[in-house]
Amino acid sequence: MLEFKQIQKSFQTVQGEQVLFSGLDLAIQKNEFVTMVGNNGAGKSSLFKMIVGDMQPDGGDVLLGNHSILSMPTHLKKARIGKVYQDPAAGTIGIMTLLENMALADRKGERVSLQFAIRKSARERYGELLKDLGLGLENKLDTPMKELSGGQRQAVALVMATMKTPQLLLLDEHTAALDPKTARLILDKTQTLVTEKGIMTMMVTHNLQDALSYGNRLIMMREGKIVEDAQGRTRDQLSLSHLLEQFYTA
Amino acid sequence: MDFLSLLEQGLIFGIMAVGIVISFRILNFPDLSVDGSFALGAAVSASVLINGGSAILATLAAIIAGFAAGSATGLIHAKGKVDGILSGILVMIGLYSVNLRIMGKSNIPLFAVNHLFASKEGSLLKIVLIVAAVKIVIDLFLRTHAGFVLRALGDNTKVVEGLGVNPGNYKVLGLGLANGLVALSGGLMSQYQGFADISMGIGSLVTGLASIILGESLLKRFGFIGVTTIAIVGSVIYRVILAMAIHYGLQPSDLKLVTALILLVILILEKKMGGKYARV
Ligand SMILES: Nc1ncnc2c1ncn2[C@@H]1O[C@H](COP(=O)(O)OP(=O)(O)OP(=O)(O)O)[C@@H](O)[C@H]1O
Ligand SMILES: [Mg+2]
Repeated sequence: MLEFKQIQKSFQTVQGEQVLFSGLDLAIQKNEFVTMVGNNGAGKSSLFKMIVGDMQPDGGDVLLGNHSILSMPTHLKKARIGKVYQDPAAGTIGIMTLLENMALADRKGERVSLQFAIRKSARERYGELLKDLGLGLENKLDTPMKELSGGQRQAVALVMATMKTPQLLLLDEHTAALDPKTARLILDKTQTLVTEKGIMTMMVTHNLQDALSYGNRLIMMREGKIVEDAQGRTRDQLSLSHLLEQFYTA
Repeated sequence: MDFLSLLEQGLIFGIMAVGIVISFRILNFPDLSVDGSFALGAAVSASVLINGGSAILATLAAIIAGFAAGSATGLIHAKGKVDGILSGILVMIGLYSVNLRIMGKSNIPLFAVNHLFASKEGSLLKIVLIVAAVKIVIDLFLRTHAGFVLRALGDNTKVVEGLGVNPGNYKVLGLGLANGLVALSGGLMSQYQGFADISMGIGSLVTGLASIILGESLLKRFGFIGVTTIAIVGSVIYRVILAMAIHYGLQPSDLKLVTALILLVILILEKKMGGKYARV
């Protein structure tokens, strides 16, 4: 379970203090795939940053699996969390080959050792994982990541983030930079991976239709508050027009 | 021109170039402490020797001292959050005093003590063996999990952190390793030339960079050639060029200027040709 408890956060700006969260509460269960929508500046990315430790709340607590993770060293937190963000260049190592990137992800959370990084039979195993994407990446194992397209990199980043089943998967507009066809493919792949492995997932998107089509719980945020939280039958009955309406009633 | 000694010197400086490849190319860290750690290696090795230590001990001590110096740069940068270039400069300046302390004077002659190259007999073989050992160990290391982490660090620290690795710790390790090699090179050079001098390190970094860029521009077009080979071969070729400059009438004291000019010309040429190889 992931839990935000009474989160407080404000920023000092030139216009004075700007409050983002004033006592936000949110709990997400293990089997949930939450899609998150909300206008620019609503605080979606900030929530993610507070989970991984790139931002500290002024008050409140963040719990993962019943333990507060606020004071845990960032790299240890990240070892348990998979994440894919908007920038395709940010999720993989550009100068290393696809095979080498996969080998690193394969050892996520392990103590760094002097064993050879690429295990025996790695090539076949990674090939299989990539083949599922249907992008022909299994034939590009020796290509440096930076020579792949943004969509290809994003697909690899997703596979890498879920290779060692994480406790929590964070996706922040991870298909925003992709063409509609590739975006669809990555979203379908996301849904399959998350369901198969039973990964607790939060996915931010600006595409309302995607937010309805994927996942099993929908949260809409506005100015640091949760204004819509639908799951089960309520969510199934949500319509795009209703969501749009919500969006424009500020 | 004495080609044998050019080759020998080129190989010894090649170890330094391998160290610089690790900091500048693999870690992408502009480590300016190199001049200091090269002289540190010479100072430590010489003072162990004149205090009765064996050549092996002297050489190992140089590596350890260099590792400590590189780690210091890494710690200042990673834990103290000081800018990379500045961290290196601080260590380089500090090392000047440290080196003088270690040596006790600005020059230690080694003619009276036994060391690796006390007799010139078989020196090439010894040097080749040492350089080959360094090359093999580093090549193997770069294929390990730790080696992958260092390579990844040079490209994207955030991804490394995302893998559950503390990036700072591995920057420290990488810089330690790099400067361990630089100091090994300094230690070997002091034994090879028969003395250690406080000013030995001056210009090492630029020399090393020039060697690497030379190696890259000559070798990279032949496809997959490892960074260690590039550094070592570049270093030997670079010695030959310097020797030719002297042969055609330049004074040894002009060589630093020659080095700077060579580096400048390569950098400009490479930028003109797409900047594929020149990356400092
Ligand atoms: N470091 C910071 N300093 C000042 N203000 C900040 C900082 N980080 C975030 N904010 C503010 O907090 C608010 C929420 O930002 P956040 O990035 O979480 O929004 P978001 O919901 O992800 O928006 P978007 O849809 O545009 O990605 C914004 O108003 C932003 O200006
Ligand atoms: Mg955002």
